Amino acid sequence: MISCSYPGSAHVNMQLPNQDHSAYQVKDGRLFLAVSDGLGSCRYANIGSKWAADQITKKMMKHFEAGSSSGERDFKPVFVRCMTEIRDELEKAAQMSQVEPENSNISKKDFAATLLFALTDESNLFCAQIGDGGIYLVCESEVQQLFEPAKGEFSNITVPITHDQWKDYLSIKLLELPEDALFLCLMTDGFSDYIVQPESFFQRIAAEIRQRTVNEFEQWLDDLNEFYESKGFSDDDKTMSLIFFRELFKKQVK
Amino acid sequence: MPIQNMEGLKHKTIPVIFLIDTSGSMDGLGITQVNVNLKEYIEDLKTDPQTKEAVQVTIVTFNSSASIIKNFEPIAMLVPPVLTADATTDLALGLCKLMEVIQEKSDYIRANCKRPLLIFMSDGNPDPGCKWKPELDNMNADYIMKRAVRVALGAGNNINDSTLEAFILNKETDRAVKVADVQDLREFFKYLQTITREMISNKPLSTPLQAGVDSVELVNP
Repeated sequence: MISCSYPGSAHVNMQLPNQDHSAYQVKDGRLFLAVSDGLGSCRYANIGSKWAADQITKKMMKHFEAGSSSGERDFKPVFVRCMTEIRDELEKAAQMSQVEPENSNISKKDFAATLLFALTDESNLFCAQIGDGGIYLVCESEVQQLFEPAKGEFSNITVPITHDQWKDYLSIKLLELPEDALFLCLMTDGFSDYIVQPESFFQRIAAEIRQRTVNEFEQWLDDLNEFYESKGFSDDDKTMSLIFFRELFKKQVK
Repeated sequence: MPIQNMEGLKHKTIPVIFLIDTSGSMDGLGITQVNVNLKEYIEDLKTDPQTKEAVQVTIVTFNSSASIIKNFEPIAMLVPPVLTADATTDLALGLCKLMEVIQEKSDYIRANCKRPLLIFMSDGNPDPGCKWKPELDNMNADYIMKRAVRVALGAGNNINDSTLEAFILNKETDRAVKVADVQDLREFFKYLQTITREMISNKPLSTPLQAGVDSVELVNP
């Protein structure tokens, strides 16, 4: 797995932190990955996105670790329950902060963030999206856009995890991994929102991976971020996390 | 080495969609003000390097019939229209025509555009018996239009607040606003210029007051 995150120049100029976060857990042959994007106009969005990514991976892992699940069909209710817990925790955090007079008007919405989540055991894949950003499954034969990146480029339009109607905007996908699956890509909207031809975009990414070592590819992702910034695509924070199902990288020469 | 080009990427445009009442009550000063200020709005955005490539304009008008005046035309090449006013106010037909455009362009919008900005402008209530609410529900259920930022403008006092408020779907972004007189339309279009630019640059959208146009009032703020 590789994950790279870049603060957008707009945030750097405003001395704001990178509000994207990613987190993962590995347990018993399952990988739990989350990528979250804090909504720019919300005061504690960077805390909300970190909490969401960290907690959803931990909570989902705990559920499957406990063996209480009757199987992968439980995925959606389990995910909804974990997200409800996270929302409650953010609510509590807001209430506790209100004790301080300067924080009296803090609410859960100040922690607004989007969430992308993936769980795979190398045979099956479970994905969820709340808000925006994109998840793509790249195979040898095709590129599957699992979720259309909701065009939520405005922080006050995107439906985040803290929104009252978040469940209405929750998208879930369960699928068997195709035999020719190469990698899964989770991207915040800073990257995904400008991809109009996923097939071409990810063919290029796959080609770049195949001619590079892991370190070289990470440097290439730095260049991709620079390309987005310099060509005026996005000055937002950008995060890309990739789960590889095959060995694709050039071997490191020792 | 810096990346020189990257396949599959495209800058996305904002579809600005006007739904304009051109019924008889708008005749005279009303439609003149719309034409003058719409022209200024277009000329302002088409000459600004930051906006001229970023906006596509659609104009649908309605009275006792509905017409597509502009259909996703890039603002850089847009010739401002000269609208005329006549007949009754069949909002249902207007909404229906607007959805024809959206459905026809649906794949294009999803692939190439950001969220649309929908601007509804009227100076009076829809005709009695006009079944516009089911058409509005239809628009509100549409994948693209559900996500549009909406501004519903009432000019003068002959339009009910409830008609304007019916356009509001997302209370955080959508605005129902009023101007007391059609002569205040200039201020309204100034407000549109501000929020169009904010949408292009991914900024939170201003209220009329934040945009410095105090003659444009929010309905039930």
